Amino acid sequence: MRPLRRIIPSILRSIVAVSFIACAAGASFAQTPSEIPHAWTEAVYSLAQKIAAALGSTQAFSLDLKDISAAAPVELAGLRRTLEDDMSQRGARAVPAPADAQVQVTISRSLGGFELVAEIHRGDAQQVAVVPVAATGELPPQPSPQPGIQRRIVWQQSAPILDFVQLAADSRRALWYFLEPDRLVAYEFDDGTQVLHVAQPVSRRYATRDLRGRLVAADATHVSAYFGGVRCDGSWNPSFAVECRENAGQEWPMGSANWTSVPDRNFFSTITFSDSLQAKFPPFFSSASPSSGTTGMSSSRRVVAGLGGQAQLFVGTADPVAAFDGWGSDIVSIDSGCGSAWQVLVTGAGDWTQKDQIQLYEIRDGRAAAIGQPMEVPGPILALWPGDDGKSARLISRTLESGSYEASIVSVTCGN
Amino acid sequence: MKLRLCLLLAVISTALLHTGRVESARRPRYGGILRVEIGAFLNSLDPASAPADSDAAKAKDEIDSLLYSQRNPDGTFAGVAGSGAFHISAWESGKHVTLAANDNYRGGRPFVDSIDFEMGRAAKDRLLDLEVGKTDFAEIPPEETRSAVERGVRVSTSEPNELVALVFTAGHPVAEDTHAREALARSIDRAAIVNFILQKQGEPAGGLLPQWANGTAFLFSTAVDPVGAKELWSQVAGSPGIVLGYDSGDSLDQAIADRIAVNARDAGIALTAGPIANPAPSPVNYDARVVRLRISSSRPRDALAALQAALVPIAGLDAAALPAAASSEQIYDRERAIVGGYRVVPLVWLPQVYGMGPRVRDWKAPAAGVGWPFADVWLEQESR
Repeated sequence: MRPLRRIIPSILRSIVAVSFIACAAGASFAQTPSEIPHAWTEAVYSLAQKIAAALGSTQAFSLDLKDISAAAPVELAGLRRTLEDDMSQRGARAVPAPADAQVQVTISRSLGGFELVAEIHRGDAQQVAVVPVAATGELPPQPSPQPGIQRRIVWQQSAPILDFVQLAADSRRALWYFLEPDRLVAYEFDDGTQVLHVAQPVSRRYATRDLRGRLVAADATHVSAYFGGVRCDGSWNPSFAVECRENAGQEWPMGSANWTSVPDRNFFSTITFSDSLQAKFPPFFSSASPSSGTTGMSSSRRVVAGLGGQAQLFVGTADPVAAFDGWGSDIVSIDSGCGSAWQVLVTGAGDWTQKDQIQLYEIRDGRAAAIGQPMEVPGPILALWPGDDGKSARLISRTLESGSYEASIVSVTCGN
Repeated sequence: MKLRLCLLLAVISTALLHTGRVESARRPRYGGILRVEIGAFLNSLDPASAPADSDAAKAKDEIDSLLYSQRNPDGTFAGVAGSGAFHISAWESGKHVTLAANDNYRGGRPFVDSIDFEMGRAAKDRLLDLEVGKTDFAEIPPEETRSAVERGVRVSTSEPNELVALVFTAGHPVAEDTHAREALARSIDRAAIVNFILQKQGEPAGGLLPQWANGTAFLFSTAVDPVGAKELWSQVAGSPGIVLGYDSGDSLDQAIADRIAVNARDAGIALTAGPIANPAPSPVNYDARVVRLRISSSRPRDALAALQAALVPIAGLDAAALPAAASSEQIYDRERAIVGGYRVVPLVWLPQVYGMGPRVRDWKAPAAGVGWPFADVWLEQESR
């Protein structure tokens, strides 16, 4: 492998660390009443300052807390204890009503985030103090994955992600690549610690509102991006460089076949196999066929997610043998090792303004049967590509609440 | 070999199932004409020509947001028409305008091929057309939301982002009497306006900004106090009463003004409500009027600054400019100062309500200050 430059970790290391911690299945963010998140402790400190100033010489006050945000990630008991402790250090103590002064603290929420609002009543005077709670970037608790499907979040960022790959350079070092609409980004990790971050601009010929892209790696230091009518090749020589050129045939490698993309749209028109045979299906968003090595089935079977919202099953014939309603537009085959039937992961069929889901199906005898419960994803799934190992899939989604983009690895577990 | 044969057969396949049903699909699909009906009549989209009324101004703003790629902080548009997601392909003054997708739009070509706006459609006609599938998209008056849902129309509702307020006219004797202003403010039953007139669409307003904007709206009381109002009005010496005006073309404003008149009468306040001609007479012949002000930004500081700027010339507020980086507390203090003078009496916050046909996908009600996001919308198409 070519030598790679080392650069001291950037702030992104912490993002990755948070992601790693949070993505553990069933990750819990439970806290004891005495522990509140750091950002809230800071906000309480500022609020206590303002309350103390408003109380002046008054030493005893009654304290009431309420949460009208209905979603604050903090327990009122812990917040109260922290505030009371802070106030006592400032020489004022909370006592049962009636008291010389009354303090009402409300957890409120605006578009900008949570706020602590204190109403301080002292005699006829009333003062209001407002302290915003800094956004921490901490992940909200993730719902536990449904039995059967697991999603491991590996990255979060505010910029859109089209695709990503994670590659092992040697026993210690790993290279991660992220394709964004305007750049190809590489990160190097040494024993899990980020040591390098480099981004190279990429230019595309077409801008589409539903821009799709795919990364294909030859090895850890050579990666190609297909998107927007171009192919961009990234390599280390010795530093990371990217060269883009028009993708004349608009073909995207997809395992043993190539898909022909319609470059100013978001769908594909043709599948070309390695022996130059072409299969022309109705325009499709995605397609999947079973891996003969793991399922013992012929790859002449193919399910195609068409533009009309229906997935169709072709078994080596010109006409579909079956159609599946209610499927979303992204489908991948997955070798879960659970059972012998052909299994596919399918996205949901709602709007991109809603939460999404992934459902595992078994396709057998021209019929598709849902296996287990769907796994909810807290925003639309923008890309679902098969993993190189055939046992997992790469998933890109946008979180509705924060608008951030998440890269995840999806896999299927047996026995649940 | 068998595989090759199978694939060769598949080469000729372009078949789709002949179901004829409208089906769901997740990823956006290109094509189709989005049919939109609006109530306003637009006689020009020329930036230099002033719209005839507030409805026309709102409609022009929505269309401009589709035609221009950039918006200035003051809400005006920058660049040339057609630099945005769409360009004008047909124009018939006061009747139709058709916008075609801009293939070279830097944000990516919109999913629909074009948008056909039909102007001058009354609210009841828009609702009927949504019901029978004659249009894909139309605004619905908030008070008609319940009826629309009962009639099977898909409805999308924004956050409350339009303030309805009563504003006293600077310089009029009764408007300069603090007791008179506070008496009327205390007499108004905002909950009744929301529950009965707006059919529970909207929220009672005590401050100028809704809760989602600054997080402090709950600090402003919206309670009705007829006893306190009566007592205050008794201290108003020799007033002939209050004349309350409302937009002559706005039935919701009229209903609210009539409800205020009922509340005022219950508190012993002499108040008459009447329509204001368009254009308004000069000098104005009303002591207070009902106004509707759309919140222009999701940033509370900018939203309050814009509201303040709109209210100053009517109410004669003495309000300094807000600091550029005003804190939540400073914004709250300014709101409190404006509302505490009772020259501006917040009544309710209204959401924008949109009705959609079944084939409209990926519509999301826009945030305050953002135009209709038609570039992101796509249309479910009949399977052929």
